[in-house]
Amino acid sequence: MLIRLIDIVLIILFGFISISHIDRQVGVEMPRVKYLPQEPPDFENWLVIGVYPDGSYSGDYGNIEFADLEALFGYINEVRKENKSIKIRIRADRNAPVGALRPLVAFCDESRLSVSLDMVLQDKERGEKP
Amino acid sequence: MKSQGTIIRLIDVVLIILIGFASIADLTVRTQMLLPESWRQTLEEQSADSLTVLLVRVDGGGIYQLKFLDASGKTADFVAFQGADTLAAVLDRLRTQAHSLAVAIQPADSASLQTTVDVVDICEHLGIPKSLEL
Repeated sequence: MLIRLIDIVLIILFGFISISHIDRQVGVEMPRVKYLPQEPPDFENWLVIGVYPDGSYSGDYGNIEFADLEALFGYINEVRKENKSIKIRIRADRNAPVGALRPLVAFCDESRLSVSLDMVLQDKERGEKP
Repeated sequence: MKSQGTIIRLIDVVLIILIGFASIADLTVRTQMLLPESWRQTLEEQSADSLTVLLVRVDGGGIYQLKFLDASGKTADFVAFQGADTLAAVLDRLRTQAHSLAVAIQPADSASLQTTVDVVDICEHLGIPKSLEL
């Protein structure tokens, strides 16, 4: 009986281990949406670029800081040399200015890189049907 | 008896590890929004003749400026609103009045991402085709 309880606990433990996300946080608070359809962000072949409220950029979950856009674009090109099918995920703070995203999105567009913006899905309000 | 005590201690250790992982598990639901080509195509897919395009400019102070784009080239002045709730009410009213409404979102460089995404979210909620200029 005791062994069975231990088995149950171990199964639950492995379940939480599998869904836990132990990477470092970029330190951004992503924009919140309620009604956009849920599309889980891709977890393969992605490169996460952080955009902070002051308009600065980071890579590798905050481990790499870029002095300017040229450094950021150089980094993306370097990564792309190793992985041509890389996709860009922008993890921007909700208070980040749109002007900081424009050159990055334009660069990705010119480079034919798939780019997406990460957001947090909030609970919808009751009676949301228009 | 001694082995039972050992087993119970092991169970305690496992429970502590379990609670630890349960506490750090990220249960937020995330989504992503593809940029920018998908947004360029959104309005192009609509029929230009029957479409009423509403230009929504997002300013740095969370102010939304609306202007209809008339096919004849005549445009009205911008009308300003503040707050996502007000914008939602206005768009809802316009949606029922216009035959086929679409929204072109033009955020200023100083506009915050949240206020810009709010417009996208409102249009999604109201079922209004939208495009985002980045």
